[in-house]
Amino acid sequence: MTDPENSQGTPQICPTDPTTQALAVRGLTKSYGDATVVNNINLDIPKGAIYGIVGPNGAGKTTMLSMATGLLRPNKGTAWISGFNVWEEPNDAKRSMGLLADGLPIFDRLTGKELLTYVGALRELDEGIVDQRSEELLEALGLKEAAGKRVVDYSAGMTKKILLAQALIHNPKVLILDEPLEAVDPVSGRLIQQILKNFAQTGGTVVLSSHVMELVEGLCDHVAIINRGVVEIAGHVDEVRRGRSLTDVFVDAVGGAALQEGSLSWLGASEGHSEGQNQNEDRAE
Amino acid sequence: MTKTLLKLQLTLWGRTIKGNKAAIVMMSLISFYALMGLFGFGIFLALGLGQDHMGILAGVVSVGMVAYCIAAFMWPSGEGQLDPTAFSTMPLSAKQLLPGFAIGTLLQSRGIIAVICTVATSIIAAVFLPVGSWPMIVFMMAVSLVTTLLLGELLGALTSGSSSRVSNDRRTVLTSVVFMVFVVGYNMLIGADGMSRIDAIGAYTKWTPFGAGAGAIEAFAVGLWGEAGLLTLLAFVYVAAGFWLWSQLINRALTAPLDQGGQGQSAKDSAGEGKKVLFLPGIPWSVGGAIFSRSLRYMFRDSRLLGSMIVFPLLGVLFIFQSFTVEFFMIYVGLIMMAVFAGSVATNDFGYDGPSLWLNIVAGVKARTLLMPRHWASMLPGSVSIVVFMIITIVLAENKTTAVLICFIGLGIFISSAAVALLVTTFNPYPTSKPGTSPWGDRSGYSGAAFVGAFAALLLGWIPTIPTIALGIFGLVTDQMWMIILAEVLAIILPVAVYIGVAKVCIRKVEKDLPEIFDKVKTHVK
Repeated sequence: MTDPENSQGTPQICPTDPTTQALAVRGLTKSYGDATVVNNINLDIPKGAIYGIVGPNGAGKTTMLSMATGLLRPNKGTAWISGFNVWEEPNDAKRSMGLLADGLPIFDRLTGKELLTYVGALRELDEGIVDQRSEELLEALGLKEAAGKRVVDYSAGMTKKILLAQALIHNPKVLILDEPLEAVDPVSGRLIQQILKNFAQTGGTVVLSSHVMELVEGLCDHVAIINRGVVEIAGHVDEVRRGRSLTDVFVDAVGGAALQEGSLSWLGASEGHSEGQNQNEDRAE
Repeated sequence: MTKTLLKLQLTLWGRTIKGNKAAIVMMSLISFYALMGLFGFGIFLALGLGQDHMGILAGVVSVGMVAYCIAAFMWPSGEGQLDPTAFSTMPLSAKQLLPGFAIGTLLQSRGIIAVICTVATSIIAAVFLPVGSWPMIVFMMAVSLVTTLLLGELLGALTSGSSSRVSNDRRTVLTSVVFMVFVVGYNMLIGADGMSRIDAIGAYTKWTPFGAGAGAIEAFAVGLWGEAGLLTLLAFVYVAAGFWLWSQLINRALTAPLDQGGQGQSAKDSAGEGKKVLFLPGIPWSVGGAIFSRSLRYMFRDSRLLGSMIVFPLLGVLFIFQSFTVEFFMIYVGLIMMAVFAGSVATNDFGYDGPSLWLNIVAGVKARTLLMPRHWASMLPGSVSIVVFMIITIVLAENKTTAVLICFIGLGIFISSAAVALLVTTFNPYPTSKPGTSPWGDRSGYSGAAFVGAFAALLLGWIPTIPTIALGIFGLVTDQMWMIILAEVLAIILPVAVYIGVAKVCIRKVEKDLPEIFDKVKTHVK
């Protein structure tokens, strides 16, 4: 575990063998020109964990996950999934993982059922198994009725659910989910959380990034707070929050923002609105 | 309000142009074609007016208006920044917006070109028509300019204004068909020497919005006062009706803009019991089969690609028609053209898959499987069209020896062009607009990489077949059958060898650099 007391967050030496972890990254760095988006990140995610990665917008979470899953080549460092080096043994690593990528479109001119069939076939599953699992996933995620509808016509929440279904279809060892519950309704959200808990209980590992602290606090047993491309704090949720709420720890770690006194005071003041409107009308005349 | 709208148009227009090579290239191309057209039709007009051809002015003005409308139709999302739906949440009416929208049409390159063309046409008309008709020329040409701008905006408003995916897809199919039919029709007209009778066209179009203003000028110039009055009245009625319709369309766009168009329907064939999902009939269950079936289904479901499905058959129809109306040799030209163009659809497979490629990457699909079935799917529509066209060519040809030789050469060029397409698709991927974008609104084709792709596909496909063509022609001229047969064999062997070599190089490239390829296409062009 990274020392929560360490203000720099990222340990310089990581004694753990990365091949024993469900997901491990060492010295992961990505720069675009002068801007370093991910700066020498080390992280160990143990097997069987539900691991939350949180951070403000633009912190580098998605970039880190993209490098860890082989979508983006790092400038430095590497990643392991289920003991396989993502950049040296990519196919073994990819076989072990399921990914729900946030913000990346899928082949949305396919129907939900077609998309699952497509991914199942890519994952070299038998046709019968793909058919059976597709039906079960669609049923479980409340997408049965929409199975024949093109994904482009799904709502944002339905799209998240079909993305989750495609990540699960090959029964991966490590499930990597970027913002899995964004735009999902509370009923489906609870269902998805149940699915993830069951998955972890049977030995699977879940890595999820989220902005929703309550979700991470309630669902995850481990958490890492990433800010400006580095890991600020990482470890077991209880150790990280030390009796406080995770939101407070997060705000302390990344720095809070407060509304200045008197700022936006006109908002909701109906007299001011009428005055302004009258002035405009006068000008128009 | 009008001042604010014009400032908005100018600010956003400036930002669209600044640093956007694609937009600049597009504007330059349209301007160049417009000015070339102005030059050509200016000569037509001067010659026609010099010979007192009644109807020539109406004909030329009508053709100009049609050209403007086509530009507005094909590039609807270009420079016009004032979209009425953007104002739908504000307490505004069409009456308040219309003046700004109307003047805003002049703050775009096509509006400026329309003004230049109007002024030039007016000057040419003034040179040849009596001095007494000059005020009429100025006045009615101005009316024609307003009509032109109005027609463009009406067409744009009619063909957009829906947020529905289904409506947009249907519209794209319709516009693709209409455009291709127009191109074929235009070529048939050229073949039939129709443009030299432009005054005859004008005699009809002067009664329509396209030529009423110009028709009134011509009638006035020759003293047909009744007709001049009637056409002037008609021109005003058309303009008034156009403004009324435009304000109705703006009002429609301002009122519940998200509520227009159809809703996504469930696919009829995908979830049926006992039916294969995704996989096309005859395609075995495999990774490659999934990629092939997905890619081919996309040809019909993605409006960016749908155009290519329509282009090949229509191109075939055009050349077969010309083989009867112009010369039979045109059928051979058509065969070679189709073979050359067949690869052009397949020059950016990774770009068309775009960000969705991540699904294939994280599934750990082998490079060969990722690349080849996708490529074959892109080549299939062209190959089917070519095979059908070859059969028709051989059936229609009197000299079967020549026809068979040209079919072999065409097949060779097709294979070479597939090899070039594969090479370009792998080494020159570039981002495209998102699926569902109208081919006319797709700006991705104006990037440097897109130009490289298009020209490579058109120019390099010939190279492996050059020895074959030389040998074949020599064999035909000297009447040596062994030489013709050798040319036919080489026509296939050389391109196949090139194709196999290229495929190996491309597979190695994908194995090594897939994340970098993905990096280039992971964001759609907006």
